[in-house]
Amino acid sequence: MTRPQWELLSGLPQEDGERILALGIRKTLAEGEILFSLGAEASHIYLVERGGVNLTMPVRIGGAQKEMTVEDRSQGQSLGWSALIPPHRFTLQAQAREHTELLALPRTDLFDLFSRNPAAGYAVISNLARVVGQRLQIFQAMWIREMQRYVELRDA
Amino acid sequence: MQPLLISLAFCILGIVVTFLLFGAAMGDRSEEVQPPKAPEPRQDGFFLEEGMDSSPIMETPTNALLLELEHRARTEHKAAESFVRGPSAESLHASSEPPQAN
Repeated sequence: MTRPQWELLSGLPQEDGERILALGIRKTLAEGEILFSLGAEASHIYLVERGGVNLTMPVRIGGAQKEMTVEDRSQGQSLGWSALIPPHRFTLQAQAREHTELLALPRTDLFDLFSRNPAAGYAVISNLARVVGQRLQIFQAMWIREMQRYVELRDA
Repeated sequence: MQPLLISLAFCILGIVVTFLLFGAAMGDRSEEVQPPKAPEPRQDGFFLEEGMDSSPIMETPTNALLLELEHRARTEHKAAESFVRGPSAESLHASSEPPQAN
């Protein structure tokens, strides 16, 4: 099995990356298993080693509540960055879309390592900022596209 | 006199037994010819949570709509990613649907 290119550890010296990965607790999910639920306390950030995870939000359709996939994460990608940002509550639900293996990095251990190795902390937080920033830009664009559609429907 | 009364009592007893047997036979038959009971209407109860689908007929359109929404979210996500790679007013509002084949 080839090692994933971890987006969160991009640009880190190999030994720093290894130290961070050593904090990880291996976790296996069966297809359909919930990793975390919306509103739950976020204590770990997760790296997808194999498989994939759907990130869902609830929608109400005809009086029934359904989980709608808004994003997905696959090998090498990270999820659960709410663990690193107050108020440390998940704003999505994560569900395995297939058999999935993850590394769960505890926030407390990660921050402890960052305090001892600020350069590694800077690199990881920079990578996280890039991931979060891209997601913000994508969802801003999606939002304004919906607004544009609303304008067109209103004028039609 | 006494044999007459005994005979009369036996006759009455015979008639009663005959009626009872006839009644029982008719009762069984009436059960046989009853039409099958229609299923009782489903009652909302303890095991039907608020918000759950109460009818399986509703399940299909609900899931179809959910799939449609997810498809829409995927295509819009891709269109938005294209915008982020090359931001411009045109790419922001570019169509997310592939051109229709003729």
